[in-house]
Amino acid sequence: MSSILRSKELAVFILFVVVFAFFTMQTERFAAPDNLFNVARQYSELAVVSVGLTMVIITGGIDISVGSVVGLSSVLVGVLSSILGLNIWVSCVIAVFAGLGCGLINGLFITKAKLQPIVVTLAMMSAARGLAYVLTRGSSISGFPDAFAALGQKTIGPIPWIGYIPLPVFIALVLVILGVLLLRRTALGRGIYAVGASEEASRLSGINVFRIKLFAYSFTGLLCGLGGVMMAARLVSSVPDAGANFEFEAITAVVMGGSSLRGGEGNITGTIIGVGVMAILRNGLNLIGVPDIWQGLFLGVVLILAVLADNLRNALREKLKLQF
Amino acid sequence: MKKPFRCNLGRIMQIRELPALVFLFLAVVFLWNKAPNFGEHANLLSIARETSIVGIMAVGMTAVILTGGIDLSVASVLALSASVIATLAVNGSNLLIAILAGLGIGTACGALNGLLITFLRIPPIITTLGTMAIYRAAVTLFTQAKWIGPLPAGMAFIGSKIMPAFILFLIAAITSLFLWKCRLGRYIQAIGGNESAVHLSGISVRKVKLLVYMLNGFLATVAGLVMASSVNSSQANMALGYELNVIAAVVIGGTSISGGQGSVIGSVLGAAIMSVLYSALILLDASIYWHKLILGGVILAAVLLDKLRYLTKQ
Repeated sequence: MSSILRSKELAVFILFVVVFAFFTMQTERFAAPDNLFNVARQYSELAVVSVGLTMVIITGGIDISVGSVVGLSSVLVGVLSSILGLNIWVSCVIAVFAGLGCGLINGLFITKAKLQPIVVTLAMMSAARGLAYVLTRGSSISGFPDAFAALGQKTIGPIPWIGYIPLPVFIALVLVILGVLLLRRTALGRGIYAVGASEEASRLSGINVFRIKLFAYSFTGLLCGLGGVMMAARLVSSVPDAGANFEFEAITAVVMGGSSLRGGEGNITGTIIGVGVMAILRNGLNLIGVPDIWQGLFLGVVLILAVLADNLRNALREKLKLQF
Repeated sequence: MKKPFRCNLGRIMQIRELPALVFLFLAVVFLWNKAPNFGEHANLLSIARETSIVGIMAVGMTAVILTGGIDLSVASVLALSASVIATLAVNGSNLLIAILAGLGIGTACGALNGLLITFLRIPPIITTLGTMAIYRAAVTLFTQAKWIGPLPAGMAFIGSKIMPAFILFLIAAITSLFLWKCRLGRYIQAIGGNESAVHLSGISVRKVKLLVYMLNGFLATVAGLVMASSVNSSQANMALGYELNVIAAVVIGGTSISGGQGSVIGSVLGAAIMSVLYSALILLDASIYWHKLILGGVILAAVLLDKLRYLTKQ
């Protein structure tokens, strides 16, 4: 019993199954493979960004600039290739590195200047979104080469049992697996948990807290850069408000997935199921004709219920510990 | 013999609001000379109005952040309560009753935040992230996403001329006095400094926090009243994204986001800085797209200065 309660992902997994079953029963179109693949394609960027954000939150920090950095990176692809005439792939690489740069700046201000993560990333949120608007003067940029546009539509496969997987989904899957391995199997991953559990204790036991935190923020920035490029390819245009609301959706996914905002707890598997819950919730509600307005309401309630369930589970666990 | 001058200088350096004040002063002097239209009556009034709307919310947010919390739902509360007031007013109900109903709704929204945070122990950022979406959805459903207006003539004075600035002044003065002179105000600051110490000294931390979030909801409604009156209407997406402006104003004003230290005056200055910057970009013919970029820099500079002040103090 207590081992089940210890499993952080269980609650969100049950939620996923319930939501999935509900929509499958409500509408036939929901469970159709191409609908599900399409949903996965649309949410691959959020999944990529959430991998990084999970690490940041496990270290006990937060990053609310993720959506803006996605927007900046998406804009850079268009500005560099369409306006400055750079090669599209070079533009992509620069855009990804710009994301890394934003994350690095976040990390340096948080570790070196010892500023609060929420303030630093609030400033970055404003600055990166501002830069995205300045660069595009508020309009979107299109006119990408066909090879780049195909990137968002391409599929990988056939993979046995599954068939063809959209390329963005494949990229997201690879990054998720990398993230899981990094957190579970490497010293860096253990360091991330240790720093989140107790920074002071980690420092005293010889862990380089500075390097671990800097890594978490930079890696998140890098993933946001990649997410921006992926979004530009999927939408075949650079939109300055790309990734708007990502901070909200990513934090919701991470928290639903069982990560604690106090740090030290959580994992990427849970987060990805959380992203999945949001994706199918939005898609399913769309399919059964629930207006957009209600969806915000649902997401808000789901977020609060997820944390409540987590609190409840922790309380139960304490009680069981006392009994045995 | 001691050196009184240096001692005084050191003490001046310790004033929390000083960087914001100096920055605001320099910006105003610069603009007065560079932008011929800056000193115009209409421009100053529009700056004052914008400062008031963000500033009134920032006063409540200062109290919230002093307790070590945060409230991302203020802008949604503003829209919800303003739309309730506007709907009642347009449908011919008594203005006073409409305003009281709005204030009640706003305070109730704040109370719900406070209850979730204190009794169910959900972290403030998550609670208010959730209620931000919920309240915004509620106002959109309530108004059917329609524009509500024009408002009855009796409401216009609240958002016109110097009235918003006067309301802000009144609210800032009362809250400042309350925070510094009342026992409850000192509890608010003490909770941010060390919550368990306050708890151990027999004060109900829950009640104090609940009150602070209710105050924040109440003030968001007042800001909504000013906003709706000044544009003579209300709509579901009003003040969208303002929660960040409000938090930025508080942070620029030198309030520490980890709680315990800060001031209402600083937050009002922060709100003023943001609206002056915005006006400057328009007057200097720069693209307003620069606003967010510059704002990000200003927030960082402000917290860095604050850090520096803290270090020199030690």
